[in-house]
Amino acid sequence: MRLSAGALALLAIPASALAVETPPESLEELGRMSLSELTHVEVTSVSKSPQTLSTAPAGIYVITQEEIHRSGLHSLPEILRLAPNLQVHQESSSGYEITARGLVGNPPDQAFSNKLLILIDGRSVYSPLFSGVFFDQLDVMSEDIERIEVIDGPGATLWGANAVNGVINIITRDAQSSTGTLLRAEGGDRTQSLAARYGASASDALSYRVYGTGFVRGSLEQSCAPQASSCTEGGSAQDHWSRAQAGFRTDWKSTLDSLTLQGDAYRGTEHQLGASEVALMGANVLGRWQHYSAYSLWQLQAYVDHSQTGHPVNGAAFVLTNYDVELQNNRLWGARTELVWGIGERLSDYHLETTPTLYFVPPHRWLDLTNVFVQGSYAVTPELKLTAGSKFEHDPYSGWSVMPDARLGWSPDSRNYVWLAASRAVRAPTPFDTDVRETVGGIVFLTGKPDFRTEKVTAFETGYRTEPSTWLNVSASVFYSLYDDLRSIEPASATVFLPIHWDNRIAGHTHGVVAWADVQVTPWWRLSPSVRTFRAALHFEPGASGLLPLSQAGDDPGSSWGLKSLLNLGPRVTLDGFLRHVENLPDPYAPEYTELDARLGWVVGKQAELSLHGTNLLHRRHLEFPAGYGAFIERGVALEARLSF
Amino acid sequence: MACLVGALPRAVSAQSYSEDAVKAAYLYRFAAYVQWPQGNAANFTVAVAGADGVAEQLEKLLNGRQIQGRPARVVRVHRAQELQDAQILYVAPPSPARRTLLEAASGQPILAVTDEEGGLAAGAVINFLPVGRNVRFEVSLPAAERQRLKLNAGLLSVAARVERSPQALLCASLPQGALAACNNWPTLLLASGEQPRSLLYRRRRSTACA
Repeated sequence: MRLSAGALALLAIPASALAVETPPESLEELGRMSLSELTHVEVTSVSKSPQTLSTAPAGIYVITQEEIHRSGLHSLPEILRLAPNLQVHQESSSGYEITARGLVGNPPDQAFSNKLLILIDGRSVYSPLFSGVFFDQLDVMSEDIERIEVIDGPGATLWGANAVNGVINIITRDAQSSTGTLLRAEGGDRTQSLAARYGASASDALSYRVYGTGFVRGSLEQSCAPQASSCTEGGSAQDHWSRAQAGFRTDWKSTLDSLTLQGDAYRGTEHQLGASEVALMGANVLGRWQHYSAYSLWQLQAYVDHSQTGHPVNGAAFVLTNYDVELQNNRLWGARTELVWGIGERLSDYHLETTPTLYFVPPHRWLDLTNVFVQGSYAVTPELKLTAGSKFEHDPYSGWSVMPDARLGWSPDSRNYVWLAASRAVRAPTPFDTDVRETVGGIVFLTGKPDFRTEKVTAFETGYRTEPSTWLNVSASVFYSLYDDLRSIEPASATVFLPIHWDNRIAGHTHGVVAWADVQVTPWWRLSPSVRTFRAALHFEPGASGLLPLSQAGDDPGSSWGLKSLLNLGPRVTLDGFLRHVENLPDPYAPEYTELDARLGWVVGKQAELSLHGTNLLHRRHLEFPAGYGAFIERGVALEARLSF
Repeated sequence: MACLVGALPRAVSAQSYSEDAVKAAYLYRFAAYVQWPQGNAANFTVAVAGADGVAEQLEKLLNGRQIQGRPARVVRVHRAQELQDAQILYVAPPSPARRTLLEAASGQPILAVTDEEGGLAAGAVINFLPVGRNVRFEVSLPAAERQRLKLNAGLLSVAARVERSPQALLCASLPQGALAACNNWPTLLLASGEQPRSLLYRRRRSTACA
């Protein structure tokens, strides 16, 4: 995980906060503080010129705790639907594919979303086995999320490996900010969940919290591919599952140093139609030390993350342990220049349990990912800031990759901000690209390619944020991404068909727009519309067979829009809704859909809140994947009680 | 990727404020820890140069308030002549006249506050330091002496760093009893070479003060 002391704060500005200008009452509050209290106040912008808009030169949306709370959602992939720059497809009760800027993959072609970096408190959680994300392995107690920063576009230089199409940075509250007891019980027709957290401060400097959470999610309805023979459309997909997780976080802070130790452990059981159940388990522990001095910040972080799934039928069985250590330094040089550099090393030890029809050669490896990065930013004038840098990453399959990045941000005044960026990122090969073997009827049907190359993107982006009035802010960005060496599937040779194998023979470009706005219609009503468009113009490179169509790279919807409404019906009652529309998936086809989530919240007293929450209210069921590959997503209603003291 | 930083999972405290507002609050608070020589100005004046945002926040904050028993006001200054009557001067880097302003304040009973690396060397009594996401400050005792200001110990205990004269540094290293005598030693007897910078960093936990 990456940070830059000077500018980090830029991101702390909630995207949905209309006016970040210090409101009069908090100025009063500051005026009452002692000097010592002032030294602990965190500022939203450390930039030298007064800024009211986020001056991060990238497409970024921040999901705030308030937005999470008022959505009524507790599942991480569902919460990510709140970001207008993400594309979320639910496949089964526990399975999701999520991407930014398209290329979500194509399940019939065994292609999955694999170009996203997800960090939970600095821990990278994409799987080094195939670069995708197992969302059933991830859970965060939603009440303890501080914010989720969602960046669309390459972020490899600063953020880390696999940040090709986007970065999702999940940040939980520190222990000082999550003290007290919190109990939540949710009961609904699709989901039942319980969560409890206790946090306390042992001294001024040391705080801790412990939490436990668990849920049961019901089965979805089965959908059938057009020619499927033994499939009962609308029958239970038998994919109900349950999961429990517990964890802790301790934070110790002195004037110039802070130390964090945190960890989680989970267990889960997923049922499968006509097959044995899958057992999930995992645990991780992370330590981070930060040392501040004037104009400089050092950070050292290390973690161990273990996960495993057992007894699968589809070959997903594995035992994986990641060991990661990173060192980073940020330094301000005078008033104009900031330098960030770092080094990191990740070792992944995995063992794949093979099945006769899907196995890996070899089934066990140590993967070693090394990176070095450096980036400088220079304020050409107080309004114009240039940032440039590069990451150098060494992966075990393709050696060193260079990922340069240059960005320009211009804020002519405090209400307008324009940025431009050009950057390059790669997705490194994984065991799934190089080592996989699939057999059909005893014959090897598909193989990985030992010399599979990195998939590359060069992205050009520009964006504009404006806050013309205190009741309105608008953010829009446009991207044009050039891809090269995308994964394709090819026959063994011109004369021999089998085994088919992965190759790097797709290239081309994608482009699109992402825009959103917050409109404070009245002091008690906020509307947030958003829109996203995506077009891909890919082509086969010379020598490609075109065995499968170009949609193997991604069966992506062309556009989607959303409208959120946050309504305060009084000091104690809130009524919120999220209407969203997603265009059809082209190949294979899945119909477009429009759905609505809504929540009615009632703060009963100082300590209790009751809420009624409905998901996918407009229709009895809809598909987010092609029929036969994704289950029907159904309407759900839940009642929830939350106590905090 | 650019200054996109926020990966820093070090959580923000429940609320965060604009940097300008925090600096304005500091400028207001500093007054309580400083003793100025007797003066007869009707107002307590804070002069601000090169930082309209801070000036704006400070105007809102000081509206109707008194400092040291006098009505507080903010003036935005650009030239040395405008410094008359000021008790506090805050100069930020964008001001082209900051050297001139600091020189003009030198020797006057003005609490000069800067906001850049090397601010103390340029003659300021207090210099803001960005430390992570916090705004902290460093203090120069020789500068305070030069400006005829007495600084309260509470200010020094909260400072991230206190710059002392070579004499004071040397004296502070002596046993308690010798301290007073030491402080009266003729300056001539003291080596006036480079200040031992490592000693200048005081990393104490800040304690709550009034």
